[in-house]
Amino acid sequence: MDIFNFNDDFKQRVNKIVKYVFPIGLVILVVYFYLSSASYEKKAVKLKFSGTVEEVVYDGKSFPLVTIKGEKYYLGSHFWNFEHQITVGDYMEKDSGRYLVKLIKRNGGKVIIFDNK
Amino acid sequence: MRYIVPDMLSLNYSATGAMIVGLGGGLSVNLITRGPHAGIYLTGNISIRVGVQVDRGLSGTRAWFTGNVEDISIDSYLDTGIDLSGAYYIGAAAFVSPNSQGNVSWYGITVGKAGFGASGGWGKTFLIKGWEFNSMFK
Repeated sequence: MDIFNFNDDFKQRVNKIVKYVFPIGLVILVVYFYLSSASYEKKAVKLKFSGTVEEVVYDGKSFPLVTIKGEKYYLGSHFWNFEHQITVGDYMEKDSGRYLVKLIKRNGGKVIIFDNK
Repeated sequence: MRYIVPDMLSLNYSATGAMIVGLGGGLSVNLITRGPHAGIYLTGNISIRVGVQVDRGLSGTRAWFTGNVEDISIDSYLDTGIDLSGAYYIGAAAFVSPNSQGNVSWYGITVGKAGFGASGGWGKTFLIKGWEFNSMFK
């Protein structure tokens, strides 16, 4: 069975609708994600924390959700690529108004900086 | 330069079947062109689709990472993806790859495939195998 074996009338009717719906959908997609990204980045730059990492969970895109002093912080900015380097017991600090995140590793005290370069 | 040579080029084989709701899926060979994790990555994807669309075949994708070159990785491309796809003899799609809070890490356009109709999809991309140039040429 050929899955392309549809009636030409049906194809034409669908394509008429597509002509109008597709560009509208495209504009909605672009505007929605432009606004949601800008909104998240504003939130990310405002984050302020310092302390020992009590828990860290990485999502499907490897962005971490860290718990510090009982508060959860989702570090999902595209200006940070933590590459699973944050582990429980590490020390992290970030000031509001900057992207710079300082990670001090538990073993050996190695300092790793993440920033919008 | 990043707009002329995109951060990622992909060759895809995929199929879509949706009558109001449906499914899409495919396999891609992705070339990350720059950054510390430049390399070739084989990925698969599956999506739930809403619309009326039937298509299948080969397509090419140009995609860009929204952050700095140093932070480009395949990880941020995986998992959730949202796309809008249409086909009128030849197909085209636009997609974004947002994280759980709607922050987009990748966006891109795909051209190719044969079929008709249009649909929106929400899906998951997963890594099958990757080869980083840094490791390949050391």
